[in-house]
Amino acid sequence: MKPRFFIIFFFLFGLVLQAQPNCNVYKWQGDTICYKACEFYVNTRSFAQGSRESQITLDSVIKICPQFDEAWRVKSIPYLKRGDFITWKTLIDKAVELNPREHLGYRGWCRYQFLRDYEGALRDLESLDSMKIPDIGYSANGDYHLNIARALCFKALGQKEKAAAVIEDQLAVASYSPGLYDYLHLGVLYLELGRLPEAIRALELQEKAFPGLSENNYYLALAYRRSGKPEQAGPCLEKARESYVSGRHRTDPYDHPMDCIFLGDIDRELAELRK
Amino acid sequence: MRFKHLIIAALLFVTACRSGNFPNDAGYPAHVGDITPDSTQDDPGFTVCRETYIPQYYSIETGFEGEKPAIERHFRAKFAKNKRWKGESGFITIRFVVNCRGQTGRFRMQEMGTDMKPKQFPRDLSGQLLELTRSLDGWRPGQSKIKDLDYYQYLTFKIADGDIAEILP
Repeated sequence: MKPRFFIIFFFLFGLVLQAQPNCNVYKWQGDTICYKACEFYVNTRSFAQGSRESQITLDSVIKICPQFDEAWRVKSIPYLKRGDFITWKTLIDKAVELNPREHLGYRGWCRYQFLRDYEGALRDLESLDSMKIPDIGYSANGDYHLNIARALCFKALGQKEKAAAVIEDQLAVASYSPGLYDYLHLGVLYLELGRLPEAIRALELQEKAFPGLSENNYYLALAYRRSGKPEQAGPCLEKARESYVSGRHRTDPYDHPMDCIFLGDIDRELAELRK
Repeated sequence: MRFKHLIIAALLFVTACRSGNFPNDAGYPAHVGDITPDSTQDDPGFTVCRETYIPQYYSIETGFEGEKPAIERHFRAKFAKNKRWKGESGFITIRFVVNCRGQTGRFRMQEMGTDMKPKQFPRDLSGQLLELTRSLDGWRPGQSKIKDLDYYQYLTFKIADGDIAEILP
């Protein structure tokens, strides 16, 4: 992973993690005990995530204010990241039970990202959607609107036309700014559905949105090749390889994102093209 | 009411002030996910370079020779399916340590159903995944500017009808 992407990711993820709960909610409700527990929680977030100190402090906060949903969520995070999914699920379920509007989207996204539990993720995201909130929000890492995450789940479950339609619908929302990888996933979906001119158009839009990403040129090459234009595929693959080697390809500290490629994929396509 | 606040604040403050001296018997390891060496199940020949600092795979630069496709190839080629496992679905996670020389040890397994509750898969299924994970060779030592590092890594196998549906992360 390129250090630049690492830094950007951790900055964005840090923002999510550092997002502070609004303790005044408890104050307005007249719940002074939880207000104090919340204030204490905010002031003690300097402990390393998952450290004994952090977990014990969160336990103290929860003991005083068991309905403080954010403390349950924060307590769950290190278990998720470190592969103890049973403990994570027990804790995040508590946060969701206390505040479904706030945490269903997060739990759904994590189910997708860490476990590829597509059915479970869809259940959570669609439950959230059914609450008729104005916008179901974004993934924890900021990469996707949760409707795009829904589309990725549909794709993984074999419902590719539906997945493409969900992304198209999201991109058609007037107030929506396309995410960094929306057109990439749409382009790949079109490619897999054999809708080649649409695939090329979407991938060209993706190249404008995130120029030089190896995946853009790799999938463009596939689309050109399948469209009977191998002369256009070759330069795209060369660009894809150059980008990959210099680190401009899809990465994530925690998982391998859907539709990410590897150097071997590019080399295999290059070899096929040269036959 | 003010007195009550004072007591709560004092209680919380005392807890916070113990940050450098949290009790070991609180039920938590120094860091969530720490694996305590266990001579009854660990290879005695496996050692780490710095027992006091074993970061997580996602917090430093780590990797596998040949990237994820090489891991997938290893399991797809060597995992032997069994018809008896039809209907067995869920997740098997195997956590372990990669040391600063790229060797692996301290393997621990967690099994859960699709409902994310504990579940016991047939021993020959989970045991096979454990052995294949042990034999996986190609982990790169963790990288820092100064020296190679040990780190915690895990592999999660999404199992559908007794077969490997996906390997994560």
